[in-house]
Amino acid sequence: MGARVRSWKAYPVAAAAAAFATGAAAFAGMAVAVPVRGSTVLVVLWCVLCACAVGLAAWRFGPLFGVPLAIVAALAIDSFYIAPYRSFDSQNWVNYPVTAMYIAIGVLVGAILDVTRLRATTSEAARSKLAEEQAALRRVATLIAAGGPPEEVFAAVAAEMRNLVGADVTRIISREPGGTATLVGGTGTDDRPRPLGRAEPGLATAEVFRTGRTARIDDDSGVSSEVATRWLGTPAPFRSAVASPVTVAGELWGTIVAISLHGPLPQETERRMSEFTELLAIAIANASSRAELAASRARVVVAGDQARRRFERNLHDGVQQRLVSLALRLRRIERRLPGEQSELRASLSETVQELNEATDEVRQVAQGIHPAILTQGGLAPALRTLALRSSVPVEVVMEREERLPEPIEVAAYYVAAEALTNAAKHAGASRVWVTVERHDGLVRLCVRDDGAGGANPSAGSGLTGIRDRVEALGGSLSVRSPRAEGTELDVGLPIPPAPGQPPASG
Amino acid sequence: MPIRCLIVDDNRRFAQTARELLQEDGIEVLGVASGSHEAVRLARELRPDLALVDIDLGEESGLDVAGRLRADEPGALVDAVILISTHAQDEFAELIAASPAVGFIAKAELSANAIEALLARPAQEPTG
Repeated sequence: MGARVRSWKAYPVAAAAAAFATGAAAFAGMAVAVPVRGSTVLVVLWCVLCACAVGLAAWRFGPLFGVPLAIVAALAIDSFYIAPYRSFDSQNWVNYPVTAMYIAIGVLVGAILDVTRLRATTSEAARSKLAEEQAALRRVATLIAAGGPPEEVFAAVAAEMRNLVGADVTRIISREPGGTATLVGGTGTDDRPRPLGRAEPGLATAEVFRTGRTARIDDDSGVSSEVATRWLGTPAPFRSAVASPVTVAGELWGTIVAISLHGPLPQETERRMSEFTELLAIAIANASSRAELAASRARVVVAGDQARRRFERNLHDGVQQRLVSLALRLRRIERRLPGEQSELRASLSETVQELNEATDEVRQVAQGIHPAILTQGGLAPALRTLALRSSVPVEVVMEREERLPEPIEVAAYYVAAEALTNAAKHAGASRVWVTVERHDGLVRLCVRDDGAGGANPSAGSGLTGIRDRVEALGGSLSVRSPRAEGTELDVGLPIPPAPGQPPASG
Repeated sequence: MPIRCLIVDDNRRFAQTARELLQEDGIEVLGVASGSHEAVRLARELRPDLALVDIDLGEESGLDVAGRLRADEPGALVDAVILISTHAQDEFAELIAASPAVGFIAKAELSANAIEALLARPAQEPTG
């Protein structure tokens, strides 16, 4: 319908002439059909037929044809078929221009009606397009506000934008420090995140990287099928591409690209994309500040642990060793004392005794700061040593006796220590089970007791400290403690990827 | 014949005091090593009967050193290893029991008597 309207608007004079000619032909037809007047039935049938023809023309071809036909039909029916009849005097030349005027007025009115209707349709379409655009933007914004992971936001932006601008393929591409490109999201063809290499000239992305501005490429002749395959996952080169820069914190982060494999993308593509670009920039900035916050929390915890460990080491290497050496030297002196100096010997012996007690106190303080066995032997021996010292019988099951990254060993140890203390002190448990499992890059620690239950993890307790520590490492903690059914503490700690390895997906 | 012993400890002050104390008690201290490489080298050179090994050797673990000195039995570098530490025995009980050492003596209680008592016990018996 839009196409037909556009076509008559393209040739308005020809269309008006055609409408005029149709009207004139209709009038002539009515004049020629005057003999039907002989039969009332025929007149009625003829008038009904004319009315149907007018209705059909108006419905099929719009008011430009419908209105003149209606005027001609009304005029002719009035003149020829409703008494008193008038006749079209073909000999009187005045009749021609006057009839022509009638038809011309009809064409004019039809044209005005058509233009008005067209405007209404266009503005209605624009309104609904705008509403659609707003809805799409709102969906993406909601996802971002909910703190959705970047991959999810990328996928949503790519899909919404593809719908909205009518692209076949959309791409979200980040710019790496060396100027190479990485695909981080998209729709259409193969959109697995992957490095794309250098942005070859001829690609809209390359233009954005070079200028920092929106770029449109409607001529794809500069792109080889090899590059098209790498970038789009299909050897068919694109027909039209629009790339919009994504700027995060004043820096060009990357670009978002809409690609049509068929015809050129519509003119308003650039404007539509710019709205998504802004949202995308916010999502990226949010994700990066969240990541920075998480990393800084983890650093604070790790730095605290390292400080404790250093403190323990300093105590051990300094004061403790010194005190022990001193005690040994006093013992040597004690042995060398002549037999008659028994009083002095007793006094010295007492001093050595006290010195040893002091050393022991320092040792206990050091152990409270950081358990040496954790450094020496790892989590499994440390947990078993903890179990041995507990006043409640503890069963420790650790499937694999492997060393884990230090922050995880330390966190798991403190979680277990706190849980054991709670089980013995508050829950009155008679037995505790500690299990450590590792799968899929996650260490799971579970501490279960048969005590009184009813522990409240949100109340200010040791559990809050544990939760902070676990969450700072990106882990999770859940506590189940129904009354009279014991307490179960479940902790999951992700193992960070070794440096140089990509992070595990998901 | 006196016991011929090697001390492996990275704390010079303690090693020196221990050496003097043990020498007085009639134990022959052949040398002092501060790390695993030196320990193995001195053990190869001096062929001691016994090595006293600190569990905590800074970056290295005395448990590893004990393992290296007692490797390839019966041709091991030393006949026996005794672990020592400023830590208490119960802090490391499991690691001591799992090690090839004959036993453990807290540094504050180090003496010829303590050493002889440990060596007189049946080998490999974990201490209680």
